[in-house]
Amino acid sequence: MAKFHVRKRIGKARRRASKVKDNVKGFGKRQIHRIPMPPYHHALLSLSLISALFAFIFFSRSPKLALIFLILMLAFDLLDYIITEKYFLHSNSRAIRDNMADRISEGILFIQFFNPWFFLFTINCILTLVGYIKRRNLSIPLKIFFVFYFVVFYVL
Amino acid sequence: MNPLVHFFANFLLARIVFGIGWEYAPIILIFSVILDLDHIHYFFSNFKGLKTFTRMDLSSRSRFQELYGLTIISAFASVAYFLLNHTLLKVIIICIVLHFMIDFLVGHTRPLYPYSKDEVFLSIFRTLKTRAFIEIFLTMVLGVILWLSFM
Repeated sequence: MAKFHVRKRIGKARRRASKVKDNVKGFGKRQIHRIPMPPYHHALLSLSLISALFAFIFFSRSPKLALIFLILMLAFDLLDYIITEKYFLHSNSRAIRDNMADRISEGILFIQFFNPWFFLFTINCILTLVGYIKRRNLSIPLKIFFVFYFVVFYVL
Repeated sequence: MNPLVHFFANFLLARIVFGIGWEYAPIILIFSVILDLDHIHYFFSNFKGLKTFTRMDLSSRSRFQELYGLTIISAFASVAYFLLNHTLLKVIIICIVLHFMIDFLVGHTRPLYPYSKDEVFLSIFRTLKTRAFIEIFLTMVLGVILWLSFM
C-alpha cells in the first residue's frame, strides 16, 4: 500500500515537471513567433560558415576580432533557428543541412586547436552519422563550448 | 567549383594563417583536388560532350565528398597528428575542409549519402549563368591575390 502511494506521488511529480517543461518550451516558442523576422533565410548559414572562416584567420593575429566573428557565427545560427521556428520550415533536408554546416564550421575552427578539439570534432562527425541511422540527435554543440573555452583561455 | 578555385583558396588561406611559401604548393594542389577524383569515373561513364561539365549530376559525387568522407579523413588526421609534422597536417586538413565548405556553399550536395539521398542546396547561386560568372570571377580574383601575396 505504501509502495503504491509512493509511486502515485512520483507519477504526480513527474507529470508536474513535464507540465512545467512544456510551459517553458511553449513560452520560448511563443516569444520566437513574436519576433519580427523576414522569411528570407538562405544566406544565413552561408554567412555563419564565412564568419567561422574569418574567425579561423584571426585566431593567431587578433583573438578579440576572432571572438567577434565567433559571436557573429552563433548569431547567424540563432537567426536561422528563429526563422525555421517562426515559419515552420522544419524538414529532414533542413536538419541534414544544419548538421553538415555545423560539422564544416567545427572542422574549420578546430584546425588551430587540434588537441583536443579536432579529436572531439571527429567524434562529433561519427555521432552525427550514428544519430541519423538511429533517428536520434546525438551530435554535441561543440561550437558553443568552444566559444566559452576561447573566451576563458585566449581573450580574458 | 573548378580545381583552380580550390587550389587558390586553399593556398591563400594556408599562406595567411601559417605563412607558408611555394614549397607547400604541390601538397596543396594534390589535397585540393583529391576529393574530386571520383568525378573522373562519372565523366567516362556519362560523357555527353560539353554538357557533361556544365550539368554535372549529383551521382558524380561519391560518399567520400560528403560527411562520410569528412569523418574518415578527420579520423585519419587524428591518428596522423601523432606521426606527421603539425603544420603539414594542418595545411592538408585546411585543403580538405575548405573543399567541403566551398562545395557545400556553392553546389548541390547529399551530406548524409549513402545513408540518406536527401539533397541540400543553399540556394545562393541558383542559375548556371550566375554560378559560371562567380566561378570565373573567383578564379581570377583569388589567383591575382595569391600572386600579389608573393610580390
